[in-house]
Amino acid sequence: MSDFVYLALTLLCFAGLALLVGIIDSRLEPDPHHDPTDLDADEPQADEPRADESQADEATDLSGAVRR
Amino acid sequence: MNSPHTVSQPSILTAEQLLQALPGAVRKLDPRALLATPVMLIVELGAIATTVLSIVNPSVMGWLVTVWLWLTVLFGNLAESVAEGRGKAQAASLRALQEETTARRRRTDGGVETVASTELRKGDVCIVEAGERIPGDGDVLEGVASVDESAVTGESAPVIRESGGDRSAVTGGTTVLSDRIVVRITSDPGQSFVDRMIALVEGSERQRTPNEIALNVLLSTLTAIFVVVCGTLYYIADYSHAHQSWLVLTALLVCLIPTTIGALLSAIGIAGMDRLVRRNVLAMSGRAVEAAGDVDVLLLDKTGTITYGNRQASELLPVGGVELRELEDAAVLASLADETPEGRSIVTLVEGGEGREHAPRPPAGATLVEFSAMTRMSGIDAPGLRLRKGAGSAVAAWVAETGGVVPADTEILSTQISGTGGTPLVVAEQRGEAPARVLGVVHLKDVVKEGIRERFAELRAMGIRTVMITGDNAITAKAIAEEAGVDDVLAEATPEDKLALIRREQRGGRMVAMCGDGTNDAPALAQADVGVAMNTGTTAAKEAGNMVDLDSDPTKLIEVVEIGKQLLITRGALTTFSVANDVAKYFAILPAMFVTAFPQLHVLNVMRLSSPQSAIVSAVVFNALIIVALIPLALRGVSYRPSSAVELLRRNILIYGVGGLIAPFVGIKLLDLVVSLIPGL
Amino acid sequence: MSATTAAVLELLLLVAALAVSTPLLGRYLAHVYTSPRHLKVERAAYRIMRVDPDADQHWRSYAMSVLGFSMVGLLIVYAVARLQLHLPQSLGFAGFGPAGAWNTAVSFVSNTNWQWYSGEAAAGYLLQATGLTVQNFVSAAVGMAVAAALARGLARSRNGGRLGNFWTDLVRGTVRVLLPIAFVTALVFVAGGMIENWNAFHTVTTLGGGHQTITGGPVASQESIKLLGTNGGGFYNANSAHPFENPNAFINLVQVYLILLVPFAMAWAFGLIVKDKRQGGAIVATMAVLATAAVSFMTWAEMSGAGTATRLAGAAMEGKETRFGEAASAMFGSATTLTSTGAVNSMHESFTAPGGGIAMFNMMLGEVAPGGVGSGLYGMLMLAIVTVFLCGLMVGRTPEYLGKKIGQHEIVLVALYILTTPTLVLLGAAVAVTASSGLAGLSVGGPHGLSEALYAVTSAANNNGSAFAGITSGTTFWNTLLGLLMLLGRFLPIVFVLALAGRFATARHQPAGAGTLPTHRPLFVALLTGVALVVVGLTYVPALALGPIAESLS
Repeated sequence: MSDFVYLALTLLCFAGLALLVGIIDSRLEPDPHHDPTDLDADEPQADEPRADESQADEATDLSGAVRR
Repeated sequence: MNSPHTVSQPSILTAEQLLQALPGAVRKLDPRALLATPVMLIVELGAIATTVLSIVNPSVMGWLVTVWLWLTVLFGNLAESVAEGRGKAQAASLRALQEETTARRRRTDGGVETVASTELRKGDVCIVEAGERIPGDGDVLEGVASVDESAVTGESAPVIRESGGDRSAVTGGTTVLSDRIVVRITSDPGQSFVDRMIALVEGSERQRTPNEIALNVLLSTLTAIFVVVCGTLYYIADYSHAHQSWLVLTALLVCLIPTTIGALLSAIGIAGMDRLVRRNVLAMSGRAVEAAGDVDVLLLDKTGTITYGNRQASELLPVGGVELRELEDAAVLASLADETPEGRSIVTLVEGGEGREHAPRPPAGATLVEFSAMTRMSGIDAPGLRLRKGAGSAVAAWVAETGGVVPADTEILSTQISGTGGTPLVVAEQRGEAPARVLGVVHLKDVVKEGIRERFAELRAMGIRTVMITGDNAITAKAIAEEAGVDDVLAEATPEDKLALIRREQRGGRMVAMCGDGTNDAPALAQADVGVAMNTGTTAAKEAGNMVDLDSDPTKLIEVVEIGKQLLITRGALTTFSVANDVAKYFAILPAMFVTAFPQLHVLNVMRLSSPQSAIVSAVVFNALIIVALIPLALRGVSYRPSSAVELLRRNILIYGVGGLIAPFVGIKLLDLVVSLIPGL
Repeated sequence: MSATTAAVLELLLLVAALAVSTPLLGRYLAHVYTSPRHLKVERAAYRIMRVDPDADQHWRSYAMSVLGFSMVGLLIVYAVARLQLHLPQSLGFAGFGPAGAWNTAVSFVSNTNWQWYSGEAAAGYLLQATGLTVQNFVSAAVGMAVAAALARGLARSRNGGRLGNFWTDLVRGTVRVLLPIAFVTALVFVAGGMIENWNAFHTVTTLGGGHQTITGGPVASQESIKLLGTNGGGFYNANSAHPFENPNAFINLVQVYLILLVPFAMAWAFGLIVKDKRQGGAIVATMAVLATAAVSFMTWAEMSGAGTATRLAGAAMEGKETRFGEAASAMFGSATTLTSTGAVNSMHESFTAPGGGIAMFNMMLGEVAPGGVGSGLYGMLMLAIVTVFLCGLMVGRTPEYLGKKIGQHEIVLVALYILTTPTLVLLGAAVAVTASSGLAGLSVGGPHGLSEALYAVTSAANNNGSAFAGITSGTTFWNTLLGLLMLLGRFLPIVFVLALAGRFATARHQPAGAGTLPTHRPLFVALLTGVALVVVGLTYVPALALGPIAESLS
């Protein structure tokens, strides 16, 4: 009986911790457009050259309007 | 600055201001208003708790603590109200602009109808004539007009607004002084520029900035820890037979949680925006102001920011054995008809020179040959004497026409001047019918603004790199860059180059600030972390940037950065001060709490406070009064001198960290001397 | 040679030894946690565990791996402890009760090694060697893995929150670091006179006619990892005060050295992993400053002697081994509480009141100077981030640490980390001194009784494991309370640390400039030290005032 209590306690604790991991994870990676700490989240990934991109792409970049 | 809303720098805090803010402060006692600042919410809950405890079990100390806890909350609200109140005065004058006017709207069938300005929608087209007020923000479709924008910008000189190009934007509420323009409205009612300004200065649209939120998290954490500390202390003290009443524990809690910064946090934010507004810069969000403090790279347009924007004569270089004096006289005479800034600068240069009483007079019967874009020369024709001054090729052609020859050293000098980024002008004369001869070369150069080099040195010390943007060729750009002391230069820059540069810097993790006014600046303004649009600029530019400078002064960018930094420093300094205060409060309250049970703890009463009750009350009173004492600092911002991070830190730690450790010892002791006189305590 | 000279010499010797080993072992550790190559024996381990050692884990799965591995370990120790009578090599000891077994399992899995029982009177060899010693290795390796993951998170940029592989870190930490060093030191210990056998206990009749049990056991092997892994769970109840566990003054010094070896080296390795040696240096310096202050102050307190125990016994030697004396006891006592070790060579209950208070304060610091293996490093880095946040604002920029912006999300995680332990400690203390079953465990009332309770909960929530010996904690109440504190005090912070590491790995790296707050200068070391002291001081001073401070001043 007592064993059951402590096993349940163990499972409960670790389940709680796992839940916490899940909660933090879902709160940490919100839609980058609403993420205030990542000012340039809408900016394309760093490494690719952007020579091929047209003016139109830039227009959509701006319409993100994250900055205002 | 004679605008109604640009209030001259007022004294930071007057009794009158406090009085006016009082009703607002009382209104903010509503706990719902305090939800955003957990620190103050806890204080208010504490105040409610002590009120109940004092009613149930009245005592002088209980009521003293209760009153001062309520005052603590009130003082916090007061700080915010005062900050908002300063904006309200400005908003009131702006509102006057919004008085309903009538607009003459062009119907689709071409006819004109008269409607109220509030009925105008985006896309409507209106006709505005001299003496009328422009009914809403828009772009000029047809016509040219001079417009009085002083109501918005504070600048009394009228500006020209014309269709097309970079001067087509008009602001609602401004007045057309002459001519007639057709305007297409670009904003719906309630979203106009003036509306946004009102919202900004009133702080009604204030959203908390990322950094403010982060600080709030830290403050809430400290608060939570202290709630646990004080809550558990009840039981721990009970075990030690040193029973503590909840009243005392509440007093302890309020003293420990960072009330000083908690109370002043929003006032600091509002005041930061206010400081920008006072410099005639409108930030579209508090976040932009904060970002300004983080800027690593400043992109500055050469013209108007680094240089005065027009070429000026800096030197006269005679050729072929001509006397300098002779060249000077000729250059001045030839420039009399040149009303361009370049031409006038030659006259200024020569007249300012040594040994000059007055400018040379043109000989009798002379006719002026005006400068024109076609001839690219100006000059003077007198009997027996013709003088010409102008672009090298134009003058050379004129000399050749008269049968003269351009000497080789003219070419050499011209090339040298071009090589250093300057522009050479050649001066030549023709006496009688003889072939013309070249007298010398005028060195025109872009003059770097006074003091700008020192400004850049300061920026460098602050860790900010400056990049000069110019359409000039690389050689010219480099010469000016060296003279001005910028770190880097982008020559022959197209708007695309600017955008690419910003992206490149941002990819390297740097924050970029720039200013611009043209429509083709819009993408770069939007991409930059801080984009300051000039008020004279186009609507597109203003929409793209996150700040607008009403004075259209590109140098303002530097001030914006400083204000951003000052805002963050003020927050950090007051937080440090607040936390450092706790040490002294412990020394005041802990011995007071436990001295009955453990008399040996009396040695911790280093301030020798007269009694446990007066010690606790003094700490609570100090905690409340320090908020009021720091309101002016919160509104003004801590003094900021541009310097490196290490220097700033050392200075601020000394003032606010060490100062925060010491100040409350003195303050609480002094208060105790007064408080201990209260009978019945 | 006077006692003071001896104390100073021992301290200098220790500092010199650490100064030599920290950079060397640090460089090795950095290599261990970043190298892409696997050893043969490691490959075999990965095959058995069925894991892909090259998979770059997202912080979420890294955290889940830590939790899963620890839970399984906990259940195994629990089972062995419950069933030891039915297993071989039990020495005939009965199984633990459920509460006791759970407490022990949590205690070893959380690197705490709180021992409510007497090792020689309750735990058979199988439990000691397989259940407890195994956890001594792997729980330490888990701490190091988490710290390494945080360091890598700071070193990486925009990779979506990937931190490396937990299983690789775990296996490497054990195979490449802990096992070899533990093996060598076990040999040193045996050479120094420590025992290592599987003999049954002998009962002998002494000359005086009384009976005495001569214990045996694989002591040296457990002892080396007990200290190396900052575990602290002794083979015997008397722990390192027992002559079999700590035969002489030289071995005593080696033990202190071993406690501090890996935590300092981890901090050095951190600097190498983030590719800025100076950053690691600053962390090491901060740890050293705090540690030196604690050791000096405690040594002073013990050698000048004052407090309850002293008055009772007439000298500060009560409860201390005459083989070591006050200074060596103070040095050991500081080292064990500054790290998460909790081994003792003297009874902390018998320390002078200020000495016991410092032991408590050391733990309350969050065990960051230099702290447990791994946990000390990540604890110190959390404080560094708080410091950076406060000071960063004061230089007028959004705060950043090692080029990573400290924004809202980061500060939330750090705040939760900072909040966890004090909350556990203070709530635990309040419950302990309020509940009658808690009070029953305390040997005396008054300030000293409070010190006992406060010490116990502080030790558990900070995963230290040392105790004021007066406390009787083998009851269901204390076992369960302390078990919960140990479990939450270990794994809640780990979750926050890994989340933060993931966040850093996602963030862009900001290059440093003249406007950035430098985090490698002496100024920063001073500020970090100050922040650590002030934050901890403000949290615990009221409780300390009623316990050790009241006791010291009486």
